[in-house]
Parts: sequence; structure tokens; C-alpha cells
Amino acid sequence: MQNTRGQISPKEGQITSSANGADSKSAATSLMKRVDRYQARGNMLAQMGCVLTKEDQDRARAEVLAYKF
Amino acid sequence: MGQLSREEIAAFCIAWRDAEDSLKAVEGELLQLPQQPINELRYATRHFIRAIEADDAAECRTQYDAAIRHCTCASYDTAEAVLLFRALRFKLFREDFKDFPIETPVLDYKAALVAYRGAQDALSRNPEDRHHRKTHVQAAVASLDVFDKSLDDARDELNKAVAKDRRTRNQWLLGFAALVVAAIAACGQAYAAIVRADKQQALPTAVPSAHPPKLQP
Repeated sequence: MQNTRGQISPKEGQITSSANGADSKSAATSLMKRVDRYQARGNMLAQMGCVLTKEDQDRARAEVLAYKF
Repeated sequence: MGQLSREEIAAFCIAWRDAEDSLKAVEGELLQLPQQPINELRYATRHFIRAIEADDAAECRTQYDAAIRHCTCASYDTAEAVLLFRALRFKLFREDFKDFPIETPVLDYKAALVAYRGAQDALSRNPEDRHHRKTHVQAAVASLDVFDKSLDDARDELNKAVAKDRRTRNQWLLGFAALVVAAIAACGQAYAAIVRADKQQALPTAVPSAHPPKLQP
């Protein structure tokens, strides 16, 4: 399936730039499903400690900002 | 329904796709999936659906702007995750070689320091405004590219130099220890000679007599 920027197939959870309202909505719903898949993957990876949480990122930011390069 | 123009929909697609691409890239580099951008993409999509479903133009515009903003935030969060990861990697590198001069042709250390300070500056700029900070952080990530890529090679090279330095130091220590042992052995021998000489002086000069004295009962 050919995917170029701005012309993304709704079937793949993406939206064509020529999509009408109904198509846009179904495509947006597909996008949401895609986010859910990412979320599910994130939950699975979290069990292996392979997820960067907001707290991890905040801690890393504080550490980097406090460090003297 | 359908108050969004085709250009606006395309713009949202591009922003969403950009954020997703950077999410995939960051997962490949960090070997961790950042949680925040996923949430931002969820918010973006939700606002986009509301924009499509909105009855009046003002609501549609508000929701659409929010959707684009969340896409930007997702891109920003992924860029920030990369920046933090690289900065911490460099920090670890400096700490590992803190007792050793970091001189290697692989890494321009002074330029790297300047770049990492710039990255730190980008992180601290406009703390409340992720939308504007995104540009600075993405530029900082790009500026660290060359240094981050050369960090592994620099580490290998410096490890070799450290090993060589350690070997030389061990040889010196071994030489010094041998010298000390030899000195102690020499001192021991000298002391033994002195003791022997003293004993010889203390003994009576036993001159063998031709007529030994007869013992009286």
C-alpha cells in the first residue's frame, strides 16, 4: 500500500487529504485504534521495564539540568 | 460535520505522522517506548474526532488547534527523550574517564562540551511552552548527532589507552617492588655479614699449643 505524507490510507488508520467528513471520522477512529495498539505494546513492554514513563523523563531532565557540562 | 478543509486534514496527518515517526525512531535509539508521546497522540486524535464532529465552526477550530498542539507536544516529548538520553550518555562517558585526560582524535571534546551545554540550554528555555521549545530541542538533538555517534568509538579508544596506561603503571610498580625486595635482601646480607664479623671478633684467639696443660686430678 502506497503511503505518502498527507495521503495516507484510512484502512491503515491514516487519512487521505481528500477525505470527506465521514472518511475522516472513520480514519480518525482507526488512528485511535493505532494509539491503542501502541498503548497495549507499552503495557507489555512495561512488564520488562522497557517503558520510559513521565516520571523517568522528569527525573532525567532534572539530572541533566543539574549537571555541569 | 466536515468543516475542516482538505489542507487542514492533511496538515493534521503530517503532524500525526511526524510524531509517530519520531516515536518509532526514539524507541529504536533508547530501546524504550516513551509513554508521554503515546498519550499526546491519543489526545490529538480525540480532539481531531471532536473537530470533525463539531457543529459550529468555532468549536471545530478550537478542537482542531488542540489536536495540532498535542501532535506538536508528542514530537517535542520524543525529541526531549532523545536529548536527555544522549546527555546522560555523555555524562556517563565523562564520569568513566574523569581520572584520565579525554584526548582522542575520534571526538572533538571541547566542541562536544559546547554542544551539550547548548542542549542543556535548550532544555531550560521556555519551560512552560513546549510548542516553542520543540524547535530548540530538535535543533539541539541534531547538533548532538555527530558527537553521540562518535562516543562509542571514543570510548573504545580511551579504554585501550587506559589499559595501556594501567599496564605501564603496573610495570613500574613491579619494577619498584623488585627494587625494594633487592634492597631488603642486600640489607639482610650486609647485616648477616656484620653479625658474622662481630661473632668472629668476640671469640678468643685459640692458638693451638704444642704442649697442652696437664689436667690435675
